Amino acid sequence: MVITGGGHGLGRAVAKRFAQERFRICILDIDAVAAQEVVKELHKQCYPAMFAQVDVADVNSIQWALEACVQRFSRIDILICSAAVAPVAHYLEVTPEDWDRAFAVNVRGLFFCNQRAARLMRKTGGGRIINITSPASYMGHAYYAAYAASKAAVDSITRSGAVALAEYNIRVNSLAPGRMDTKMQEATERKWAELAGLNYEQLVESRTQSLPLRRRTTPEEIAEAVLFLAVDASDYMTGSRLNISGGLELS
Amino acid sequence: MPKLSGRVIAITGGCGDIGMATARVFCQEGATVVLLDVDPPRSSLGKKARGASNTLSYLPCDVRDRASVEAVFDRILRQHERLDVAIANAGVVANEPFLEITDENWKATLDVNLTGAFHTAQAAARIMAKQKPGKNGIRGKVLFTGSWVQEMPWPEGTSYIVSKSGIKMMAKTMAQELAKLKILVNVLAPGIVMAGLSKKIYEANPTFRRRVGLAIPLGEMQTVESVAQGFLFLASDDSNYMTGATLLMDGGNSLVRRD
Repeated sequence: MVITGGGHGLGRAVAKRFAQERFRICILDIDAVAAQEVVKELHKQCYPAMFAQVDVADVNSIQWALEACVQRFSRIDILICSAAVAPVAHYLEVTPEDWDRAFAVNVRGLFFCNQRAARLMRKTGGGRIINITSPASYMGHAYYAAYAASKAAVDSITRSGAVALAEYNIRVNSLAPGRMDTKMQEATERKWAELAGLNYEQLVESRTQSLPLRRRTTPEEIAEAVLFLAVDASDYMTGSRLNISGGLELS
Repeated sequence: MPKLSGRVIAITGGCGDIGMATARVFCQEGATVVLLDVDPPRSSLGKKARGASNTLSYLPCDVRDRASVEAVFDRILRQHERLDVAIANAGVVANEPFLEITDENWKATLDVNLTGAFHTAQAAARIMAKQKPGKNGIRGKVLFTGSWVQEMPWPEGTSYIVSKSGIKMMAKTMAQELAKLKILVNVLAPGIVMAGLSKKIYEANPTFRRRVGLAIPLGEMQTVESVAQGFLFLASDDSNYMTGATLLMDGGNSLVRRD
């Protein structure tokens, strides 16, 4: 199993959960220190794991890392694309640099991870791709315009991939997690509070109470749903999006 | 570890192919399952069907009739003392070209599929609202059998599609209102399942077979076991942060492949 962004937050929790299910784990992350830390932790529990430092914006580094994974574990059955950046800026202040970075990582990076992994999966008889999208792709948001647009593109890539790869026995689905306490979530909400002149604690509290289930989720809770998309139970799913968001889309 | 140990689960349309397959999986996962249906089960509810939990039973119920639904849910509550999951699964299909749809078809389809689902969901949610949350912090889960056509027209399917589309929105309004009570509401939307009427049409009609083969990116009809696995995910603690959503398991039908 290959996971991008496996060094932190959701990706890290997913890597650990999959290791318990006896998947061999290959972590791709731009943060080599964090990725290595996860691998060490997995090794301590005798789980097979490796990492590669990858900036998904660089297609060559993706290709190299996936080949390294195949060399070590002989195949890729599951690819999970969790790496993402979330620039926060008011719509009127979004810079071309913000926009390009969001699309380089969240869209271009994700697409080429999907494509290059699919080429390898085709050779070994099939596989599963799980793309992490976001409720933001359905919503209007003054401070997350680039991020939201990039996640809408992820939904489109998921559908095209599902159609293109069905004949190779490769399923492509996505999962939209709700608000959870990760470093990325905290950084975006702090930035937003700062830009909008709001109190951070109050903002977080109101963005929690406004959720229909009135609580945030955890990377560990989301990992269970990611696992469902990786095992035989969901074999008949392709091109689907699974919303695990505490009803966020309803509020 | 079994995923549904000790959970009490009711399934309407429980004696159909999807209902039975789901009950079988649930029993293996340790649940107590009550099948509700107008018709009794075709096969015996013997030891094999009852699985590990050894508790599978049948109660006659006509979902069109509110009194009948309330009576069976009362009985379930008296016998098992709580209701953890209810699946509004009873459904009928009668496809007709739009210009030919009879009032009888329209009414029969909506009465079972939509009004029946409403009766089931409301009776179940009323029980759940009054009971204490379980160890997982949840009072109960109401699940619906939707369909991939809830988002996508299929020739000559108006009454059925409208009923499934209605279910999708009912699940959202319920989820929104009941979230504060810790009652979760979700839909499972299967594709073209090798069961019941579709199975008969598939065997009898070559045009349908051709259309099915072209429509499904994964190239084959869905098994009832796959639907059962979807319901297991929704009924288990693996989906406790999911509400107001649809689990679409349709082999890629909704992707509108045109190349």
